Amino acid sequence: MIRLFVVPVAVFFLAAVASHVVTLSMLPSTIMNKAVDMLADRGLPFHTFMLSPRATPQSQSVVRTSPDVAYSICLFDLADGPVLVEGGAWDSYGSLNVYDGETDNVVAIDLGPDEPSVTGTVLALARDQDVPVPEGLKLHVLNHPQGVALIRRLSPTDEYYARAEEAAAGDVCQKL
Amino acid sequence: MMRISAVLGSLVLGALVGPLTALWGAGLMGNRSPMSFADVSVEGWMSDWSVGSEAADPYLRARIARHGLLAMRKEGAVYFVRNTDDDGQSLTEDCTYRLSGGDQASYWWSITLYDQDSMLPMNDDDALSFDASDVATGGAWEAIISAEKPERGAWISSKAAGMYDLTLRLYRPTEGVLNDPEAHVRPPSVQRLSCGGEE
Repeated sequence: MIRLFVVPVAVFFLAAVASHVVTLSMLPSTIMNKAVDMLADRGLPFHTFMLSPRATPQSQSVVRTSPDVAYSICLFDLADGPVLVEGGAWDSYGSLNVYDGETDNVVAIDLGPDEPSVTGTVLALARDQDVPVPEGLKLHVLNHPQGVALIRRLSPTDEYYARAEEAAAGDVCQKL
Repeated sequence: MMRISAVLGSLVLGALVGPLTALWGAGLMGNRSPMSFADVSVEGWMSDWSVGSEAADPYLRARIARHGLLAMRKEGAVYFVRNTDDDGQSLTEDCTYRLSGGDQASYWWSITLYDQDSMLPMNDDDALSFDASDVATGGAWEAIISAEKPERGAWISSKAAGMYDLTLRLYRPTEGVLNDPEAHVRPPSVQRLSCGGEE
């Protein structure tokens, strides 16, 4: 009688453990894919930085958005080749962050007057890492083709935001 | 035939239980608040210190992916949340509070009010937050949190917020904050002044 249950119980545990591990490993990429799809559905194009409107109760589209920061967002896809991302000159607190297809923050560059002159990076898949990189910039090899580049600029007032708009005009996100 | 059915049933059941336990283990079941995973607490201000960190643990990776999506590295910013006043009472639109503090251990900082859905409260008061740029000369500062604009002084509007929380963001925190937040974060005070129109 006991032998009748051995195989089904073993199958249950094997299936549970296998699907547990697979689910856990896929969660970050699933979450990032959903985020990229959501941003694309809202009209955000690939390979172009778009400055979000100043966050207000009426304009907010994500939870816990900061009303004191101007956000420039670029979706990128390395499947067709490397991508250059750069932040336009900014004289206050700012940062450029790149998030890969598993949500990892793979590049973090401080923008602003006190920081080194590096304001960008080249992103590529391993197969494209022989791409010529502009002087002064580094190449970052990513494991997943799609991701998000996000520039934050301190913007607590309308005056700051107007200046952030001018700076964002110099943001670059383009295929090489 | 019965044995094959039992094996297939076990397979399906296992394939259902596995993903559910993965979601539960990663803390992704249900609508959890940002404070659910807090492991740092400084006088009422709480922080999930894993957000902005690199994690090898697959459960932690999944949780950070969900709750810290597009968050900055800790060197860029750290976040603290509180939903109670200094006496431990829940923050509510019905009460008026004095928010006060001093210089923060960071390049820049801000305090923003969010409702229970983690959204900015739906009002048009243009008083959503208080930040370092509101402090003229550094040192001690204070602001009033209330549904109605105070006669004078800095103000964070809680109009239409219901029960709410405050988020303290420290941008480019000091090494001390990164290494030992309990010792180096200078937590602002939230003192309840009145409720329901009472003085």
